[in-house]
Amino acid sequence: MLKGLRIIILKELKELIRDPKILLGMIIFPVLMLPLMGGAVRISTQTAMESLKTLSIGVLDRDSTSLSQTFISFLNSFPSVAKVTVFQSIEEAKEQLENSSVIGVIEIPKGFSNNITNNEKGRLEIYTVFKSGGIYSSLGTSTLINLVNSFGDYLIIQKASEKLPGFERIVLSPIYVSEKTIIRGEEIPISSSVLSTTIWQQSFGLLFGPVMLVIFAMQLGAASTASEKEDKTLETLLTMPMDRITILVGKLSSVILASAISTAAFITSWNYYMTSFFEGFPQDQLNISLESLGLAPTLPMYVITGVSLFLTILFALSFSVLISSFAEDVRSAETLIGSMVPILFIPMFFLMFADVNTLSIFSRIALWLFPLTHPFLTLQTLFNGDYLTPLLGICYLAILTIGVLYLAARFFSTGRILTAKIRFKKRKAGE
Amino acid sequence: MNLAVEVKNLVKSFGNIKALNNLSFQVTEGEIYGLIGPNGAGKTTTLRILSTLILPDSGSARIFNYNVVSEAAEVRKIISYLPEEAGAYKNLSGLEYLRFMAQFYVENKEDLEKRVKEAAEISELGERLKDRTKGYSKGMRRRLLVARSLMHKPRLAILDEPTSGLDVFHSQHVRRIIKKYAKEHGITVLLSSHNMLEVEYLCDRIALINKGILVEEGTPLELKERYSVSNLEEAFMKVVAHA
Repeated sequence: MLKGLRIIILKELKELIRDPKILLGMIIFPVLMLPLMGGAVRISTQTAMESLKTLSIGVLDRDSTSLSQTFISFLNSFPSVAKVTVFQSIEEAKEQLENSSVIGVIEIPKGFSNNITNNEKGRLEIYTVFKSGGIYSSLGTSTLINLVNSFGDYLIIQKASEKLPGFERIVLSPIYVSEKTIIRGEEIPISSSVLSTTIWQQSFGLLFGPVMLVIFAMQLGAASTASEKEDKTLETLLTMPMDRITILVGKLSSVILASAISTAAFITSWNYYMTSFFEGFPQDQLNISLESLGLAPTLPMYVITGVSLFLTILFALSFSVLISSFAEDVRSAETLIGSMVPILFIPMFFLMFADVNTLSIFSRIALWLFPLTHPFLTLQTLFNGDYLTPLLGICYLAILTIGVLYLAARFFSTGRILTAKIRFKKRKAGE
Repeated sequence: MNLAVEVKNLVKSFGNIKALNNLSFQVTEGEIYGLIGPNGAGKTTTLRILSTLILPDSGSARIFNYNVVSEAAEVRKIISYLPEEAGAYKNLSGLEYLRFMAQFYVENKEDLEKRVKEAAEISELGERLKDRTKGYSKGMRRRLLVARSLMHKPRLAILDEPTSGLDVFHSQHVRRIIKKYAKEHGITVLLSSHNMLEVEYLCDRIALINKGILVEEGTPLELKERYSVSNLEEAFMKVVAHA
């Protein structure tokens, strides 16, 4: 059996990897296209961020008062502002704006200080030049507006503090919240929403990869069996001196392998692509050690979730092979599986965002009955210290998977795989 | 002589259609035996049952004394089957395809290379064997598949319409290979065909089948004499008319 299995797996992998649709769509695209797109985004972001690090702005001070001088000093005090140039005329300001690295000019009109003193609105003019329509080309303009708004906040605090000492503390932020979360009877000084996000990022986020793997595996599994029928190679293969179950296991193994390669390529490339959007932006690093809080998945949790995940993948794959056995060609198999994937994955995606513990008992049972939800349910339930339900879930999933595998094997063993026919054919004009 | 194939009262229905109706015949070892009949006569169904692809409703079929239903695994070790509309894996080269198929029958690498080399010679495809099969013409693909079905020297080669859809040149090539290989290596051949010329050239004995029933059997010469005709086509028409 092992010899036959090795032969089938190698042949299947060769076929899958050489299939232009699979090679382009599942390997070349994620491996090349996403990093290339990410690289382009990364370069443009870095360029924009670099230009902001050496921000050069201009000021046309027509007011020439102590307040306008305070504003200029305020601008100079910002770490991101490298240079503030004071212009004498609007013509000089516009000329420099178009021909130098100055990203914008703020004009302080005459009477600005007077208006502020008399409790009226002070008006400022901002001049910028439109150079391109890129996403990051407006960063300079928005930075100028932020600087002006910051100065506005500074003025509010200054003026209000004159009338009411301690205004900032009493009026602007009168309440201080200290969040505490109780975990298994212990009080921890961290917000539960922050904890949820961290657990999601560090634990549930890991399940995104397997979700992709299941989707890839179902598509490949369907194509693998249907192509044997379409290319008229199935009959010959079934008369080879080996068990039909070896053919089935060989197909399933090669599809899992190819899907794993494809998923790894996709996730690596996708991560690179997504992080490229945030490259260079300051981020609040919230490093919470889930291990120190006793919330990190333990080894038994990993093992139980891993078994659940493996059975889920095997179930989905066997199911797609079984369903696609009815199809007469690859197109029909893809249509069959393609129409089922959204239905199969709705409960799975629902669980990505819902807490199973807040659901009614009937909803929970319904979700446990649905095989593709098990990895998520298992992890959520294990976090609550319940090990029995996930283990029962694994037994249920194992029985279901064995059942589908048995049906698929029966289908391969009898002549039914040769005679079962579902075809989705494009209607020709005039038919 | 040993019996290579022994079919007794074989019955197979697909829904309301009775494809085989108590079909019985025997093929002796080393013989080239032809099943002749019109479309829907039951030729392919018979060959599929003997190849362990489908199960009969009743009756029995044995190949070198192995039951095709209860000893299917043993049967698969000694036969090769060439379906009428067979294809090759289009993303593999001709050589890779032959190597893939040969691996099921060999024990070591040396033997594998020997079989592949032999198959390459049978196919006469030369350098084109290095190309992927998706670029092959129908004739090239059929030659590759015939080579595949003979390369491991099966005890019984089951060939369904071996020259189906081929032009005169390719047909002659395939017929020549089958005859030569069967005689040189003592391979028993059970084939089906529409082509009476082909049958007359290739077969030692033939069975005429109509509506799942064997209506006549004998050597091509015997049949022509029995019906006082000059060729098998006329004999076949007379038999079918009588039936």
